[in-house]
Amino acid sequence: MPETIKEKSNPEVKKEFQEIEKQIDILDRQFNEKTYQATQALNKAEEYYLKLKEDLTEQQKGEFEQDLNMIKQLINDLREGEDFDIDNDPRIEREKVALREQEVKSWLDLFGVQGLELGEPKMKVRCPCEQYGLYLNGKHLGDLEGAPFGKMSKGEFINKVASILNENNIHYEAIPEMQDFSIEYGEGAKEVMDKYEVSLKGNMFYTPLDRENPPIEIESKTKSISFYKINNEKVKIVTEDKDGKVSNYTLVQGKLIEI
Amino acid sequence: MSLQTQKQILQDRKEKNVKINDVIRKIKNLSVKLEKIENEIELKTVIL
Repeated sequence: MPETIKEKSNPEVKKEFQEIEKQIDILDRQFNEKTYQATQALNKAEEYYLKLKEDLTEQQKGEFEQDLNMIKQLINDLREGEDFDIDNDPRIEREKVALREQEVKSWLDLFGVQGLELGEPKMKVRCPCEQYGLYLNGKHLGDLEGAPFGKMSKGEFINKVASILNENNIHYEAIPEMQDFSIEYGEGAKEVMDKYEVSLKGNMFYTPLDRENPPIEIESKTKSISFYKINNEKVKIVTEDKDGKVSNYTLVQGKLIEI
Repeated sequence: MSLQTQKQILQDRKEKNVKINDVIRKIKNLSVKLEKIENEIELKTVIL
């Protein structure tokens, strides 16, 4: 008997199927509403930009046009489903898994540690996230897991592996993708960040209380990041890129706002 | 469709919602930047 029919003949599985179908339906409706909101907001932003265009510098115009085009493309990709194309063909699914394994293994090879490999996590966490166990010559060193509903980025993966290797006192080669920017904490800034669980680990910036923002990967063009306490709830963040571009952000009760 | 595939679809829909939230955030940031520039332009006009 095919697996699917066998599964659906089980009343509990059938119920689970129906529950998931309901959830998918709700998420589809939410997604459609949000896409509509995003398109409306983008149109408004574009009108706003056109109104100010003649007063902007060439650099500002370039930056805004690039941002607007990038956002349009993102919306189109999401709407078309290109970004999340689900193919039910098991051969394609297997191919996707194999490609991902190949990609992740190539990142692991950057460490230059003989016998280092990925396998099943020892403590499998019940979450829809990417999980691996890290092994050295068959010995389990630790587990790594990504953020829910997504794949680990290269920087995130490298930092997690590096952290496990450090814990186990295992020497590895320096990797350029790892943190290569300077960090400065002004007086009291760290305390306010700790209070709202904000942290910078490797090249990943975590704001767990900010539900809208997933962990942010610090780009390789970043030269320095400075944190300054404004008051007990606010921290100002100033980043400087290697090309001298300065950006300002504010953390308000652990939530990141670009200014 | 197997239960596993159904779960995968659910997860992908969740990811799509997370991504569209991120897009909305990006648009908000862009609008805030434009607003800031407009304020600066207005300020310059007043001073001049």
